[in-house]
Amino acid sequence: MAGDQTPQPSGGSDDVPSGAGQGWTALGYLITGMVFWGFIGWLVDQWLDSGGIATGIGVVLGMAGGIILVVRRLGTPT
Amino acid sequence: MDIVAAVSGSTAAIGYGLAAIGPGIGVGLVFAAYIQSTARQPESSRMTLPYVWIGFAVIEALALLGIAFGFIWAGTA
Amino acid sequence: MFGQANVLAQGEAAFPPSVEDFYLPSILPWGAHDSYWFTKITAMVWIAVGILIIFFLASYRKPQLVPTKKQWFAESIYGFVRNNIAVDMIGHAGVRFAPYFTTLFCFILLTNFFAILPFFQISPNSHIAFPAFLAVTSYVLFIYAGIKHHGAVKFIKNSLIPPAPWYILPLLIPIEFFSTFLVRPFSLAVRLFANMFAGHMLLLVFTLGGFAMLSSNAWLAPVSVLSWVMTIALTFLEFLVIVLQAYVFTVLTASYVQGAIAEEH
Repeated sequence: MAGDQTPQPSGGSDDVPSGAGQGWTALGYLITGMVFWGFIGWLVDQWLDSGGIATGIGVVLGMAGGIILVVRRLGTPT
Repeated sequence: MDIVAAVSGSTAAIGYGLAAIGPGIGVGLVFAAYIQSTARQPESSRMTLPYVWIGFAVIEALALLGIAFGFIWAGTA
Repeated sequence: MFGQANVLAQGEAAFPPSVEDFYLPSILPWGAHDSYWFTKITAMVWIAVGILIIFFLASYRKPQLVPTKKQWFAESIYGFVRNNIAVDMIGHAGVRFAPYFTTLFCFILLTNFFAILPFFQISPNSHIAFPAFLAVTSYVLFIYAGIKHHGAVKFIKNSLIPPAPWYILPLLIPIEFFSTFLVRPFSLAVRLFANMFAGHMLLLVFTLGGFAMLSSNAWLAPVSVLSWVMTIALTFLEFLVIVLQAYVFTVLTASYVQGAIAEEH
């Protein structure tokens, strides 16, 4: 149709990170948070001999941190 | 009663397989909804993308927790 | 069936392919064992570098207003990387980085493409050293760009301290540090390496599997045809992976540069 222009993606230049980069960033935050604090928890486990409980807590905390980071860095509407 | 069938190997792997079903469907739904809304109203894509990432993070967290717990408590039962 | 005898006679190329199959025999000195200074892999990297330099020099030797075919090709590659990657991701500031992105994209695309090119048949990127060095280059680039744009202190502060209340910062800063400065180069390198490694392994499994079934017994022999058909299908899949990985590597580098020089948000 002649008068039917496809809408330009608005702005188009300065502040648009593309989807692929953001996706990897999000996944990276989640995995890093989990692995890093899980590792700290594992060290605590080795120290206190608590049978995986501290690792579990560390993983959950790290995951919470990862989610907070994703929300703060990517999930704020611009 | 005799044991008719037995599973050897890691049962944690089976557990993770089950645990991955939910997040798999969930992540699929999030991106399906995003693609559909972008197709219907392309201008809204910028507005909805942050919420896509929030939803994705929260759902994907479940899958990642599943794999982590599978490893942590693999040998205890 | 001389091909079968050929492959199976070599001994090392017997059916379950292993990591050993990625270490090709030495060229200089010819056929020496445990000498990896100049192998087919090294030769391929030099060939790739040579092709790229000669191609771009030759196609820009006499630039014309109405481009020749060669010039059009070179310009459309550069234009694609500049407009669809650099400017799209970074904005106007991205034009400065476009030459690096183009070089990166072409080099990865060409070296990846060796994986399915007859007589080359293996990608240099299926050895971790090459993706690792490319990743290190990109890593240095985005840190340098960030420090140059913001100054060291502000760059570190921007990339390490997320906008969050102070009491969860101790939880978040280590995660930020890990994901920005450690996971990024690692995942760049490993993603490219693993894709090329797995691709080559997959083709090996189906090709050699065909030979293995052909020589095992009469019932399995017809199935080997199926295996080779799969090889052809997987070659097309491999082509898709090749282009995609070159694109993803470049896009992620661009996205890291964008993150490094972005204003605080």
